[in-house]
Amino acid sequence: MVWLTWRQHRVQVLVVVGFLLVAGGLLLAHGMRTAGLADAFAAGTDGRKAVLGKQFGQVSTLLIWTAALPALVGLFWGTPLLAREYERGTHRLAWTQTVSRRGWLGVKLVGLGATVTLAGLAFGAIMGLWAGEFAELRSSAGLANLDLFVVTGVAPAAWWLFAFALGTVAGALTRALLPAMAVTLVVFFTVYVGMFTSQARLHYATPVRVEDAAPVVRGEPWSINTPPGAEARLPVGALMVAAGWVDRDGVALAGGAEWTCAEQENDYLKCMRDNGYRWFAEYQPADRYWLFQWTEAGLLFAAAVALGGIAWFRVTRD
Amino acid sequence: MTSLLTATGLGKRYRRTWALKDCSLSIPAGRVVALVGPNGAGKTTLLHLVVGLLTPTAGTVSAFGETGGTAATLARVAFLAQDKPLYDGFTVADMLRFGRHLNPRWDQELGERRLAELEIPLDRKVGKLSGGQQAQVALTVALAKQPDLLVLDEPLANLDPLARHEVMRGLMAAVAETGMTVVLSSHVVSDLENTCDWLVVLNRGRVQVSGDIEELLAEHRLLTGPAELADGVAARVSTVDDSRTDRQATLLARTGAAALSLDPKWTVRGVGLEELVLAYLRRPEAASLPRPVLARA
Repeated sequence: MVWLTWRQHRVQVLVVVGFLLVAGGLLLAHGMRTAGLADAFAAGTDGRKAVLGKQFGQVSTLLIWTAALPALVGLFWGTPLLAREYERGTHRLAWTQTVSRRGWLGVKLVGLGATVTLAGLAFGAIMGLWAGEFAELRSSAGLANLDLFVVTGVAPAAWWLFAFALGTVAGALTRALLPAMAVTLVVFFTVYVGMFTSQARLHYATPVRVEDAAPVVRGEPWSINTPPGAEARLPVGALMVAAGWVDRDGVALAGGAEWTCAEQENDYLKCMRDNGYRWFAEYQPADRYWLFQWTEAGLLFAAAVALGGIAWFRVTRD
Repeated sequence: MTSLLTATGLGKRYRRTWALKDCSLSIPAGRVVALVGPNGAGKTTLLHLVVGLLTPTAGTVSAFGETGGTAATLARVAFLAQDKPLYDGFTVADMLRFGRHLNPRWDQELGERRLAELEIPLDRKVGKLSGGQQAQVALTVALAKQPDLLVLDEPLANLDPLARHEVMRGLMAAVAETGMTVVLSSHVVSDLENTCDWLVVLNRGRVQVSGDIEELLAEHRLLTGPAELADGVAARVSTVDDSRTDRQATLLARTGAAALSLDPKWTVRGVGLEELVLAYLRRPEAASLPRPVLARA
């Protein structure tokens, strides 16, 4: 069975190994170059931050494309597993050998699932090492950058495994390769993008709340809900959850009330304070990075197991 | 007579329609069984139930006394599905390796010898072989498993006449060598005439005929005579098929082995396998099944 699994899926395994080697090599080179450039400046200086920011920007614009990786895993590891067998009729060959259908499916699900997870862990480690070079930057440290969050740590492994299980189930239900791929793509991106747009990650833990004392930094762009310097007031690497104003009784300000001071552009904050309003912010501190990583991984792992269960039921039932 | 394959009240329903209903069968060991019936009769469903690809909605099916599709039966049954599925990207050697890894009873030497005799190169991709060669590779994978029961679903479909002959010859050689039981389905009766010794006719999801082919042929007669006497004759024999013109009647009847005494205006002759099958298929309500026997405890 192990030989058969390898023989049928070796192309996928080799492509992923090749990708990890290339991506790892490129990021290692980039990280070393960054370290070299940054070392010319003393720690904490603006020059050093400028260099790190520029170097980070070279790669971070590509981060959005890493969403395609779990999708590809779903398409090329997950869907063919069952859909191709059903489509070509080879399941009738595979499932009438002495190795039982459960044995066949068990080895494939566990073997390929474990391989995908290991590859995802390797990818997360590579990205994590690279991102570590930029830990001094507010835009990349800790939880501040969710685009980075999903490609570092254990999150990518969980996403890869989830996509693999999703593709497998799509194949079990549609029993044809192209429809299974279409279902996999649509469902995967709905969930993946949904995790960003629904901001579900902001609520993996009760946020830390701070009130008042927002420093005034003149000249920075600002909005009424996020006074000048509000983000900068948060600890480095924190993930902003919510911010706004509360009145004396601690009740969040309803829309429009803050306009009492809106015309006093320069003394806006002073006006608000004089009227007894306090600014508040809720955020997730950077040291919750691993808590959030394991929460995300746990949720996705549970989803993957549930999907695997559906595939198992579908295959072993008739 | 030991029964190798037994079905009792076997049925399979897909949503609302029964693909196979109330099917009871008992097939002795060592037979080469022809499963015939029109398209959609339920042949594939029955075979899939036997090899465990489907689970019954009603009744049971067992091989070697064990429920179909369990690990114990799968070790002793080989199945060649319709369209002879193989992994196109595998080489012929890979297909043998597939069989070796998935079957403890695998006979690698048998597989290699058979392919060598057929001059099928081991390093060729399966997808690049001709249809006849693919059928032979699929049959080799089934035979090298050393099954006690070989189940083949339309093994001759989509093959040219020469390939049909070659596949059938290879199959019969293996049967002669091992004495295994074979069940093969077809909707072309002429393919099976000289190779099979047991007949099962399946029609509209029901078993119409199950019996030894020689006995079946001996029990059935084709009676031809004047139409005005036909009703009297039909009342005396068990008629399978009855076709009449204004003047003449032709009855295919199950007369039993005993000689019939009829008006000399009637001619009586034996029937061929194809005639017999067609007569039953035309009359789905007719049946020729073994008379009830006491079940062994």
